[in-house]
Amino acid sequence: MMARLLWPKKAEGFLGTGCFTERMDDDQLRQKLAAWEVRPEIPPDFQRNVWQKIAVRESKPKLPLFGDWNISWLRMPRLATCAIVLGGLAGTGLGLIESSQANSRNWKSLEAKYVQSIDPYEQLRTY
Amino acid sequence: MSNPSIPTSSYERTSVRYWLLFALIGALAAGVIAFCGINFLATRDLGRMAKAPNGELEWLRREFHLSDAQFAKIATLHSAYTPVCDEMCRRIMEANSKLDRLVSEKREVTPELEAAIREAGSVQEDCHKQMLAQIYRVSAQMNPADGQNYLRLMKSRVIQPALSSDTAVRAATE
Repeated sequence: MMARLLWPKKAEGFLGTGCFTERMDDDQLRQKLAAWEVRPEIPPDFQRNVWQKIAVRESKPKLPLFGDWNISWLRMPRLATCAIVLGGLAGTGLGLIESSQANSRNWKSLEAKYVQSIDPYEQLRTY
Repeated sequence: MSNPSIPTSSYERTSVRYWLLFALIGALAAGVIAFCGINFLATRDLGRMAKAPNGELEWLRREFHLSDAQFAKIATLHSAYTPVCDEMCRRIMEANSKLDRLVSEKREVTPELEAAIREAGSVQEDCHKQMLAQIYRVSAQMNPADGQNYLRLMKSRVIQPALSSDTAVRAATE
């Protein structure tokens, strides 16, 4: 009553429920809570999406040796960066192998060229 | 709570597909660029040597660790030997052609054919002497260990093949 005399404006928001400004007994409180209904809006494919995510998570192998992997680092930009780095490393490795073989062939051909330069029979054979 | 990295909408699925395509193309491009770059840089030096006119002398320098002074002397010896080698080539071709012609023409061993065989043999003998002399001269300019290696290589590549099987007639007809 004092609150109504001092603050005659009507309370808004959660204060408008009156729970915090009125003194209630247990029965009244119980009635108020029973009257409070929550109606969430669930999208039609919500259940399907939840089961899909559960299936994806369950299908991924766990590596207890390294602990639980932080799934956030498998995001696409980082995955793409890793793929590019791996591609570069693979190209480098193959390039080193190929260049080693090419250098070996060149070395042998230079040796043959020297032998030709001092052996007339070798010159005639390749003439 | 939902996992934000698991795509559930069509927009997210398309985005994932583009990223995967980008990753694939990027990886291939990076691989090709790295391969070509490494191949070019690693083979440039020897490739140039192989195409150079006196690349074989540069090979000799690197293979047998010649100093500048040793290389200069060996290059001089090599230049002096080149006309000798060309002359040997000419004499071998001449002797073998003559022998081949006579072997085809005759039906028995005539004095002319005997002389041609002797000449081909004599040219072969001269050629071996000249080659061996040159090999010894070159090896004498090298350090002892490298000189031994050079002699061993020349023996297997030049001297032994020359002595083992080739006849004068075969060399002309091959």
